[in-house]
Amino acid sequence: MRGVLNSLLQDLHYALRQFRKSHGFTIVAVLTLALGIGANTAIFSVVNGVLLNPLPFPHANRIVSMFEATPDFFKGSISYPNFLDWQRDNRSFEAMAAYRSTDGSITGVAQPENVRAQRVSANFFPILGVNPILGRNFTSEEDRRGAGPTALISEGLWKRKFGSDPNVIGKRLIVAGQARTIIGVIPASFRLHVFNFRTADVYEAVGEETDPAFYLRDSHWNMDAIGLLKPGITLAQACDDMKRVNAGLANAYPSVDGNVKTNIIPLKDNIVGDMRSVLLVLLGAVGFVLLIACVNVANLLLARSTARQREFSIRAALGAGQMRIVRQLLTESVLLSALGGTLGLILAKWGTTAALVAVPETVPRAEEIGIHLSALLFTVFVSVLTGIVFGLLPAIKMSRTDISERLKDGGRAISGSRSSIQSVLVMGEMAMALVLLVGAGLMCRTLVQLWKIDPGFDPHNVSFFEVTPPPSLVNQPPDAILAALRQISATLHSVPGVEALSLHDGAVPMDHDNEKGFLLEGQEPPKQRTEYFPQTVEYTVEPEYLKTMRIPLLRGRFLSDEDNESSARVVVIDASFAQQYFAGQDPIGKRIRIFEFDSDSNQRISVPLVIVGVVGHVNQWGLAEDASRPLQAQMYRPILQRGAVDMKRLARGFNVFVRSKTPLAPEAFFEPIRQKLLASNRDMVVYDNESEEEVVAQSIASQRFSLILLGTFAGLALLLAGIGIYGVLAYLVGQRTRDIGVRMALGAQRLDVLRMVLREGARMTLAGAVIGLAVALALTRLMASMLFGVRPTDPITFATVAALLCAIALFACYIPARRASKVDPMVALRYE
Amino acid sequence: MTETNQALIQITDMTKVFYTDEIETHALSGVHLSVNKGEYVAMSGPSGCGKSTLLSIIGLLDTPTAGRYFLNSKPVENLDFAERARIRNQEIGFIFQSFNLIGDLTVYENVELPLTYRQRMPSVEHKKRVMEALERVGMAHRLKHYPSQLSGGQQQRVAVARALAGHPSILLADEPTGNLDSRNGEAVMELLANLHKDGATICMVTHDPRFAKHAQREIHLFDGKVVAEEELKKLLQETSA
Repeated sequence: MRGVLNSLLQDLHYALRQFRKSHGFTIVAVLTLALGIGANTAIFSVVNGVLLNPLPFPHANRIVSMFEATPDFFKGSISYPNFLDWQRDNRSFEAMAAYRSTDGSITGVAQPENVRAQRVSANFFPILGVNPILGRNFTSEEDRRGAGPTALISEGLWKRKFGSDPNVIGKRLIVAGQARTIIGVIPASFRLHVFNFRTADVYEAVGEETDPAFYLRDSHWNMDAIGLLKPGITLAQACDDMKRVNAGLANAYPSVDGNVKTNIIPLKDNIVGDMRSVLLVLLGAVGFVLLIACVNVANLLLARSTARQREFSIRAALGAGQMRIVRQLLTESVLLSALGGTLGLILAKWGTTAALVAVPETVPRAEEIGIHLSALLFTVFVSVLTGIVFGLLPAIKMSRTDISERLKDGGRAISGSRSSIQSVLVMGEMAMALVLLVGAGLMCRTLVQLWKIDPGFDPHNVSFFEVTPPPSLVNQPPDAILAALRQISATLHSVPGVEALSLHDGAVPMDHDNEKGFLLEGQEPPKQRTEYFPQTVEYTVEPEYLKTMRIPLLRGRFLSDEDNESSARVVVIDASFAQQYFAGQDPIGKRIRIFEFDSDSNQRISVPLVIVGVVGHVNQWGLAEDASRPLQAQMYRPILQRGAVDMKRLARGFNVFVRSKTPLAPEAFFEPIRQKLLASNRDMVVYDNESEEEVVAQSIASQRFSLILLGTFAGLALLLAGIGIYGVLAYLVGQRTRDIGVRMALGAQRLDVLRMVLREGARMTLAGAVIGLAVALALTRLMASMLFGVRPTDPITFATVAALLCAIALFACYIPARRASKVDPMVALRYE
Repeated sequence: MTETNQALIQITDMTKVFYTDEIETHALSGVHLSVNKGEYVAMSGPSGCGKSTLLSIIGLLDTPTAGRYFLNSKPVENLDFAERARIRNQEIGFIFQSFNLIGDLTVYENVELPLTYRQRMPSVEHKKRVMEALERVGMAHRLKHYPSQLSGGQQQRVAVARALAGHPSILLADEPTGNLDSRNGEAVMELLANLHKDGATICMVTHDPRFAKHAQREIHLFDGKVVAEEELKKLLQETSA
């Protein structure tokens, strides 16, 4: 054992001396391996953080997300009465909790500010296993209609607003104009980011809502749920159980719940979403990069092995066995990859941070991504494996050297080896580089196609922000609320640089949706309902919205100042609405009916709306997704014609869309607006300014993320493949200097030699390209879901990328080819 | 002038100086040499006397520092690389000490190699010339073999065939027996002698007096100068003393 250790130390010592001696080789090999291992470690750390790590909740594998599925939405929001029935009647869940976002304007403590706020069921945090660091969770009594307003606050808010006061429990906090008693502090370690839920600063009980509309069975207030499955219950069993529960609801409430369905998916899948396929494609891509790096280093070692054949022949002559020689060479290669791995780890740390900064909020669970123990173990494993993979072939080749032949002073004929192994390796890396380039090319074409899409509005110089009026406005009558809204609008119009603006409620293009059921004229709601009301996306706006967003008017007119609370109710529809419901007819003057909650009768009443105009369709669901979404119809209603209940909601908050006269940084334009509004009333909260251009860009962030990473890896692969083919040809030229000298002595012109070497490179490149094209054809279908407007087998991409690869490879070949053509036959023939 | 016209090679007052750092090495100093068509000349002398340098200049692999060189009555000392390559291909056939066959190519391909650098020669003509040359050296039965599958003597015969295939004006042989045993060496010398009998002009560098005797004329070089045989003996004696 001691002997083995000693000889291993000897090998290590010798390897280090070798590296010092050939520092050029060492630097190139270590850098190449660092790039390959670093890229793999970076992507593994992302895959590990997002896909492999369990969620940081005690019973994570039993927690599921729940939605009400509709024909338009796979993840539709749940009506609260239905949720309560699900909670009561199911047999598969230990617990179930609902959640929805709410207004988080904090007033009364220093400067008014808006924080993220969520309403959650009392058992929301117990399901997730989250315990407050101070105080307690909600009780079921606090999660009931009309219960005294309470709040859990985040550790961050506790520190910021209350200076980490240990006696904060029982203190008051005014949120959205309502004084709440603080009952607990949620630890900063709690993080959950899913649709409709973001880690918040304030949590309120969802069941304390007093608005009667919330308790209507056909009312959907953007609410989703989580559930904790009983131990041993599978997802399929839970789905069956919920079918049973929903059948009961359909019997009890046929007109509303006749077709209700529950969609259940594991919470982790809900969090990860589409990122799973993106990350798996990227993991495959970096695997290719590492293989290319291995091939390059293997080729370097093969080239080096020729120079060291005499050394190893002497070792063998002195008694070293084949295994001993293989072991010594593997020690060198593993040490080389360990050095590469160490540098790769640093690159990975830097690269991961850079990637997450470049495309923020694209990757779920980003806060869990990092170079942790598992990533370190991965790097060690990959480094050792890499060392063995690229070192084995040269080691075996070297160990089989013909000793007597090598110990002679040169053979009788020039070395005839065509280095076929190296050529095959180069073809392999060319093929892999081409696959990656095709992937990046397809993503590039996807982005180009997406950017070509007309969003239906002009996002340049448009931004939108949120306004929470003074809390007292909620308690005012509708007339007073309308007057306040008119006043705010007038104040905003007086800000210099404003070209057009509109107060706004409801759906926001590419940001969030708001649907409304309607009936066409003469259409009756079915008594025994098995179908849904036709749905439309609803935007509530002011007349200047059209000018603000520059949406084209196609027929009739848009909303005007005359469309107010005392005039006939009107609506403007979009081209998709007209096409879907009034094909071949003129929709102007036609009527539709919507249903609004009437607080006097405590039920929904039918409200007729006259269509006065048709505008262009606006991209609602994001550049990439819009065309594939079933819900396309859109309608615009005047903000001044909203019902009394909606007025209350507007009094709690609304958006403002503003177009500036000149291009300005969104923040630079926003600040004077904010100051102007605050000057009119210090209790107003003005926040969350976003430019429409950012919103449009964000709608394709996932594609940009894929392009940035795939592009980086493909560029890396191209660089490594270029270096690879250059290295092999340079080596071949060096090895064949005498051959070239002979050819020249026999009359070969420089151009003949140049052509000969280029032909050699072209042969490897073309063979690699053909293999790569075939592999790419098979593999790119795996990324079909990531593409838009381009087929996975897009011939333009394939042809362009293959041409690019060949051009770069031939350029790499040109350098050694030119060197070969400069060979002096006199010198070459003396070369021994 | 008349003599120049008759001579295949006419070299006048040729010098070749190598510069290494600040050291000047005079490889050739005022060499005069004339080789007529059909002549078989051996160049001999001790190691470092400049015989290989002279052969390289004759073979247009190198250029002289000064002096004139006429090949087939045409001045060739100041030609550019491409023109020298063209003349090498068409006028000169090389036979090297270490054969310099290309290991990746078969016997047939090695012999064909100089013909591939000629423009507009049909492949039928290639084949004809290659077969003729190989038959001449008795290697036609090894067409598809690679150099590594041949003995040294066989390799050198293939190298001779390669030199013949282009129908050159002159064959230049640099120690053609240097890497061969005596039996194979004799066989190659016999081959050259037969070629000479058939009209070939041969210029051979050798340090072995036994092989030099095969030539019609022997030129002795010492310290970069052409010297008479007696003078060479005297100089060698002085050096060894």
